[in-house]
Amino acid sequence: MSALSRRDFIKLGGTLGAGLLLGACSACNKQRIFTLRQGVGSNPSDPDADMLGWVFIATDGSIKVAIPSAEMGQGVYTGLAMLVAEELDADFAQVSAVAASVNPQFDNPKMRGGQLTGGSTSTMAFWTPMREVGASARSMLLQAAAKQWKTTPESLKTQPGKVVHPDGRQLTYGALASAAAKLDAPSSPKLKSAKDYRLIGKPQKRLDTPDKVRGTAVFGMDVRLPDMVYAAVEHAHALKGRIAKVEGQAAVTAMPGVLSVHVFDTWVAVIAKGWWQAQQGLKALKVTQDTTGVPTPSSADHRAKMLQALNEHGKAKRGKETKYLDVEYEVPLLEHATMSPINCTAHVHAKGCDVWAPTQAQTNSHKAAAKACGLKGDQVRIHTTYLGGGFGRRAETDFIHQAVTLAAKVKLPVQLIWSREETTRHGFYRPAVISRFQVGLNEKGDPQRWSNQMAMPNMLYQKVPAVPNMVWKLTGDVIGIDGAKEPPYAIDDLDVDTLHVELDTPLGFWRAVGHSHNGFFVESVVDELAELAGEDPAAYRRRFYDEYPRHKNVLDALTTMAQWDKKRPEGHHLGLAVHESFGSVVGEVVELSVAKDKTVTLHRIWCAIHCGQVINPDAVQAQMESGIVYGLSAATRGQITLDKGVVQQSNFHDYQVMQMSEIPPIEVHLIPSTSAPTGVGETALPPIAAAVANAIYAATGTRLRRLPFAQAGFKTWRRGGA
Amino acid sequence: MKVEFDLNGKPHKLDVDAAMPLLWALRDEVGLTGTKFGCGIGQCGACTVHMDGIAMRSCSLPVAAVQGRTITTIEGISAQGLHALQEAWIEEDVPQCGYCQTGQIMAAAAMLAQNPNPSDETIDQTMSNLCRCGTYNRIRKAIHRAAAAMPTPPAEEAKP
Repeated sequence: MSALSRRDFIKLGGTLGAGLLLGACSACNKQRIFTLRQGVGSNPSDPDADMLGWVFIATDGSIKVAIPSAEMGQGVYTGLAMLVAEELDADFAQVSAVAASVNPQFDNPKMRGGQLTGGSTSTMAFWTPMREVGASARSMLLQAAAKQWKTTPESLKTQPGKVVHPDGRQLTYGALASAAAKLDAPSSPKLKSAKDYRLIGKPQKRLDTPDKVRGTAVFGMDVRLPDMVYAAVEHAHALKGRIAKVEGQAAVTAMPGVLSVHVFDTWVAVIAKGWWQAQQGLKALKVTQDTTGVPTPSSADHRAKMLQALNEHGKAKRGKETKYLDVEYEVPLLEHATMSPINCTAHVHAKGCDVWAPTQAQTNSHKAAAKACGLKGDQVRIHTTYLGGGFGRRAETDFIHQAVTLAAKVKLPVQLIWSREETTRHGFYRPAVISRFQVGLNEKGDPQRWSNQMAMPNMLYQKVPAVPNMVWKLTGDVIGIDGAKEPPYAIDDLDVDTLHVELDTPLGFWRAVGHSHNGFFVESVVDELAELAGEDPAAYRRRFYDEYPRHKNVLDALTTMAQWDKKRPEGHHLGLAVHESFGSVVGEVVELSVAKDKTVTLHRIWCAIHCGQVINPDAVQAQMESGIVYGLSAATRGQITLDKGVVQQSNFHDYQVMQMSEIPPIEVHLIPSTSAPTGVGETALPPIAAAVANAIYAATGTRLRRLPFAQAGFKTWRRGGA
Repeated sequence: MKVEFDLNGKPHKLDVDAAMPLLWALRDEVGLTGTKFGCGIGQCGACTVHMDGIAMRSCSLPVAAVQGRTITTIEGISAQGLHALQEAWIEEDVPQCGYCQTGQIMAAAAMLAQNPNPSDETIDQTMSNLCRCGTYNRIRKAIHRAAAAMPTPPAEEAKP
């Protein structure tokens, strides 16, 4: 991590007018907060410039907080602004959140990759820096007031948005901002204790909602620039294919609105005055595909290779256990299906390159843009828009590189938009996995030996190409194994490993990543073990949770909420799963019934999470609902299949997701805690497939070991009443 | 092709290819970006607008079809202030990524115009817009909240 000098901060421009602007360095060890005196008011003529400090208090009292993380629906703009406002003692009604610019001061200290939103890390990463920036600003405002009133800061107090003198006099933060800007920021401000929180832990309305319901929020595709043109693209159909030949270019260029055709090795673009015209031009081109010498796998090949890897590895030897489970679980490739198709807007001009990007990865986007246009450093500027869904897809930079490549050619602002079909067929897919479990129980029913071999592509071969494959071969897929490595079930003899299988398919981080499949595998297997041991699934798990207090809290809350032991209405059955991911533990209970024709009615879902100190309870609840619904889409029908290297799905009609009429009431409980916050955004997803599969087993006696459930005939899902 | 239609309460003229979907005419020609592109085949509903008060998926509606019609987009859903649905959406903190929400609100507004107090079953049958963030339960709550908050319908519709 780069340590920033004070000089670096002062060098940074600002466009905010008079007021107090504080900079900070999330990755520095000390002296991490700085007053940005010269950054104030230096360039008010450029309204598009991004905010380079962390918090800005204007003379009218309004407060802007720069958010290093991308707002992709998780509520991070509101949550992180709350942290600053808490310690600043701000009136939250005066606080707004803006996207931070791309600068090392905003690097995510919990992730490699600079400024990057992923791994459910945002709150963990900025929990301390955001509060310190707020506390520091408050301390400076107190000093400024003390100077004016010729007293000591210690004698003064703050109330939301103002400093208060014991004699009743008041000065607003706005009135003090300019004077405070002349002071040095304290380097280690004192932080509040949890009992004094005024905002943290209390539900706050999201700051981004009004713009999102008015239609004025700017998503990537909503960027509008003078003289902007639109690009539509088509990739070689096979994932690793190439474009051999493109015919009809002259005729297409003559079409109304079309400006130019650009042919590359693996994709072709049409640029036009509007996106629809560009897309019409693209359809009129005759593109010849070339797959000579490249792998063109089909899903059946993938499956055969994974089974072969398991067979070559061989089975674990069975011991003297009387009760023994020997099963294989399986999940398919998945696409992220963000609501907004892939897009990016770029302009390469005399003064540099500007990119307006719905991105989770600002630093990597900067690198990709620089590579595409040959510029570097400050010449390349990334402006983060709202994302229209991220889920890991927008942590990739393929579309950034593509937009800047086109912008460098046409010298006009270019808005690149992929059709839904291109978005579905040229993704970075959640790996397919076949996971073999061989588990022996001792006479008490405890799992004594637990062998779990996972045949899957090692994501790190692709995702961290700088490290030789040999290294990843030795370590195994340390990400793909997440959530399977150490099941919390007191196992003496544990052997969990990944077996690399090359699938010749672009892979990506898909919401919850390794946990997305291992939550399903492990918590289904535990359900099988409970049955083998002849015990109730909740009681069985509870036996092992003494050393896992978060699991125990969650399980207890969940079984109370769901009234686990209560007799259900005729035909209703329960399924349970508890899974730890990103530092938090989430448990879910599903109540469902199954008709003779395999129609599944979901009656209710209960969810409990232990994620340490909750910042915005309503946002955590929303993320639980979100992870459950996203996970249900994958569990019930999500599946990407390949035929000779070509993705077979294309749009929402053949890559279906859950609808409103299928989602039952979801009741969420947050376990109270004042320990440091842990992850939220991805954590509700891992348990849901297992909870549903376990309930279907309870209802039908059919053990579903392969996703999606539609493959086993459970195709129709609906919401039951409360 | 030249088309004339009423857009958000004002007469509007366009001269574009007759086959251009209304979605792209709104976004790229008129400059109204609140209507979103999600799938292009009428599956997801992110592009929902009203044509003569009926919810339509503008990605699959050629401009030629709007000649002489009345089109309402999210930008024109309320003549003054926010629509009761937008207020309810804020109260229930519905949006996450937010991309589908303008389409959801347009679909819900058309439904409430037909049925001021929809049951859960009516909501299930009518609201087929997709949301990848899983805000469905909050959308349902917000619709009920808005229905309760909206003024009583005119007498002839409100008869018992």
